[in-house]
Amino acid sequence: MQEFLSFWHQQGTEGFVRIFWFYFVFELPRYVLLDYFVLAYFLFKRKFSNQDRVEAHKKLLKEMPLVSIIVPGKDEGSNYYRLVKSLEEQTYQNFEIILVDDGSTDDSELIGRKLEREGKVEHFLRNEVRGGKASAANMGLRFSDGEIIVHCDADCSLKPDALEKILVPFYMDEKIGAVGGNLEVRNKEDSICTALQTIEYYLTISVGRLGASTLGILRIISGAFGAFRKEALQRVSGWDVGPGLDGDLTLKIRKLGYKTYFEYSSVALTSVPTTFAKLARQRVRWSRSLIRFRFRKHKNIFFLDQNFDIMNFLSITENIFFNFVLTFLWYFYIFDIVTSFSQSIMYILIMGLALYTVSKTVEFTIVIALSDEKWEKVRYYMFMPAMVFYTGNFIRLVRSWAYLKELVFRSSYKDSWNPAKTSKQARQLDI
Amino acid sequence: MRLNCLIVDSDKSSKELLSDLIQRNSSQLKLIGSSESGREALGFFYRHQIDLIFLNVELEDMSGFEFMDEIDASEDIQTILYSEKGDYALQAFEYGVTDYLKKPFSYARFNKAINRASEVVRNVTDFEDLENILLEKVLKYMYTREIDLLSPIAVRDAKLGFIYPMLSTNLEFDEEQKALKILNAAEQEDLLTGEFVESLYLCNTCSNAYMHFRESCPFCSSTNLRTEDLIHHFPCAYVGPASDFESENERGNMVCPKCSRYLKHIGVDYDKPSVMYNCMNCDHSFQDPLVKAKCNNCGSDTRVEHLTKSTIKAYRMTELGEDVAMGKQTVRLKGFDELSEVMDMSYFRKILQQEIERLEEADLHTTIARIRFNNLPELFKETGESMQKDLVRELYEVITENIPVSDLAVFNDMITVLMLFADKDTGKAESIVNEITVIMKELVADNFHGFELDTDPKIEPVRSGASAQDIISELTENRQEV
Amino acid sequence: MGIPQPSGCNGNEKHLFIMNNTVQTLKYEELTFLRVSDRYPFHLDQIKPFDGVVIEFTEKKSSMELVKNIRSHNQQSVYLTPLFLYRLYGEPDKLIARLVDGTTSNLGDLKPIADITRKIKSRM
Repeated sequence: MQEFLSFWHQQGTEGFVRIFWFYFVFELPRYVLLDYFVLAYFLFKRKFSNQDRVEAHKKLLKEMPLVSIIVPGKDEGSNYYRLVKSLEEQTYQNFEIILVDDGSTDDSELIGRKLEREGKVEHFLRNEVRGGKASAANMGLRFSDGEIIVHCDADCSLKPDALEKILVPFYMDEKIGAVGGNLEVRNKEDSICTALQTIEYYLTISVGRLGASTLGILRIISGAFGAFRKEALQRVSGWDVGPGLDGDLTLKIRKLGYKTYFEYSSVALTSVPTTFAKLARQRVRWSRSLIRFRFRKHKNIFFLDQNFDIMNFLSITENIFFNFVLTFLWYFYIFDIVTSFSQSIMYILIMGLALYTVSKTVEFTIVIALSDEKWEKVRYYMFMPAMVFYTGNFIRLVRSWAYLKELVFRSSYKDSWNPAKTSKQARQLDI
Repeated sequence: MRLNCLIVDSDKSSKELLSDLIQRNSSQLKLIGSSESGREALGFFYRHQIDLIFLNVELEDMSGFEFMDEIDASEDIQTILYSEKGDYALQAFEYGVTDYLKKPFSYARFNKAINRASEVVRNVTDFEDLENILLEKVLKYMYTREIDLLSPIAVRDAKLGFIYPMLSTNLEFDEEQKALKILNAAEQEDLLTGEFVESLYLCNTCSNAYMHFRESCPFCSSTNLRTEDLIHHFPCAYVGPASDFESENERGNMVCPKCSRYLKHIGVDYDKPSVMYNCMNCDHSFQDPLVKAKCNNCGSDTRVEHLTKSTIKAYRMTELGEDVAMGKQTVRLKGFDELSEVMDMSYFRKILQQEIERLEEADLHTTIARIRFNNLPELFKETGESMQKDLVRELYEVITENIPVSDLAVFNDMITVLMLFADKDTGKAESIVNEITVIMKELVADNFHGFELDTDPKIEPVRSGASAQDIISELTENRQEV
Repeated sequence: MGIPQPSGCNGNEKHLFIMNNTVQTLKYEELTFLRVSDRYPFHLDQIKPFDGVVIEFTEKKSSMELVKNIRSHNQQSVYLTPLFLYRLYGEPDKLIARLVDGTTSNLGDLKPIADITRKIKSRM
């Protein structure tokens, strides 16, 4: 203990910064300072745009557009009832539900057809053969009648005003083509793993996406709960083969000149993996999409031609930089610390833990500040230290692994998440 | 059993009148033909199986009596003789006709005459049910022909699509389904053993096998549907009906509307994951049509999920069956005595007697009630015989389900039910009776287009000292003429 | 009226023509059969005294009806009687052939029919 204190006293402020340069250069500005700035900006904007919002809300209720809620999935039958029930309880009721069954092998068809016969869903569309999430979503789109399309995962349930709230932004600005809903974790109590993910979602989605949206660089409308203007979807001809089809779709829409918006108050609940192993698999899948789409498919983002748009450029660049570049840069950082300070590694680790914990706590405070249910969330402060390891080590490692696999082995094309037939075709056509 | 009738009358208007009367009584009579002369009638008579002749004494070529001489009426042929002029009653009596009518006669008088004829037929056949007779015929046939396995034969014209030799040939088209009923009951009674041959679906209403199966729109029930294959184009994940892919310029080539590529081979760059129906009537799109079966005979259109499955079997005789065939035993199929349990008066009497005796010893209250359904015969006329039994049975079941377990109900006849309420006073009994009356009225109204069942209840305490039979008689007398 | 007689025996001329052409009898050893045509049906009671009936097949519909009528009769001496189908040229209808007890194309040789008849009669 004594040595610990003396070591740091010896280092001083300069040494402190030198040791934790990675934090001060990249992480502090992006995750703490920027977030606070955005928070302030957001609260400021919200105050002044309140009138607009009220107007938009009135307009929405006057026009009452038909909303088509598309729910593609495979073997999701057991979730149908819960979803339908949460939709029955919505404050906005002018919608049609389109369930798309992508080759389920369980009793999803039975459940779905029953719901259809009872009139609880408008369409239950089934493909005997699995075609992948993109084709399922497109099928739902093809037979939809609504002006606004809401894409929703089967295992999500919506808070009673979620649908109404997600529609309002469309009436605030004509250029808004897609609105992302907020995602929170339903099974937060299940395990430490889910608790940590709960915090993660608060930080990256509730706050993170809110920030990106406020700055105009929101790059992903989550398929778990997102709303689109039908005309926008039709202009981009729906979804393309995934994974990461949500980000891909969002980007396509932005390229057409539409804006994207994150509606913080419209909340959907989703279940997250309960073990770290399952979680890892999920994140590997998500991470691969970065390579496939940002680099390969949409590389024209970087080209300076007449379609160039600074906002798109910035949004993708930010994403690539902070996810991809920094991940590998971090290894370099670790190398640097280990080689330069090999003897004092222990002291550094302990101080590092302390530093990052404080940082996370500060970050998390934004969540509390924005939230209506503050006291509920206060207990998550005790997870901060664990959160450090979670974000700092676990997620990073998973991501690194995913990037490598994708870069080197193009493994997403072999991903069984998409049926082989679609992947093969896509591969051959290099999309 | 409908009697086959022949009219022999030279007077055209008289002939028409009789024809009319016969049509009116189509439940009992079937008009096979009519002739204007005795000779013509004779020819006709030999060509067809006639049960009843309506004969005018005054024919143009001979007298009615001469005609009767010609046919030398065996006991199987009945004659209703009538005349306009003259009175031939005595002579008619000597000839042993079923009835003699003097014109003009009233409809009621006519009715009386044909009832007589029907009565005679019934007497002759010993009051046996058709089903029992047919079963006996089949068994005898199987025995005399040493038929090991009585198998159904597939026949296009048959109502069931199958006929059984000897059995189905005895049934009119409308009743061909009775063959299954009879064989089934025989199997239950251990006269036959059945082997599975085929399962099939028959019309729920009339048991006809010839039905049209087709898909219908779940929204408007129209059967005018168009189907289209859906195509999933792999490279771009576009999904749409085949018509989306048809290019205007080039026939035979399919072009993806999203990415403009040509579709090459199914299974390679595209597949057809499902089919979409479109209703030409109400324009709805759907994947799950309702399949309905429309009966070619009665026109009823039922969803296939609601069709009941019937089983066709081939049958062997058991030893018991052989005994019956040889005449060593007679069997009365319980299946056709369907209301034996519902109308078990002897059991009711016994229990009532016990109650009376109990009353003599203890100070209890037991009540007996009768409900008469006065207008039920009206309903029976419309529904036909088998429905009558079904209805009575259903009423019986409804009653027994809704009265306390310790109480008893029985049908004294087709329109009267008796109930015994043990350990209950008249007040309690009355409330139970009212309750079930409401339920029964609902049941009848629901099933018979709002027919209002007329119930006539009578509730009385059981008194000791009287006999069960007396109590019952008193309660059920004052019968109206049905 | 009784058993139909060959022509000339019955004094009543009016219905001779009917009797002559439609019914005949066939004899074989101790058995007698009634031969009828499906075209001109007759009073079924006439069957009673015979050991069996040979129906000359001309047309499906009328044959079927005749068989049906015989089997529907309420008396055993009629409905249980052995029935045979006869056609000189060609096959009689398959279905009807299954509903009767035998078929033949040669009335000169009645032995097969007789054999079947005897067997059936022994069990009646």
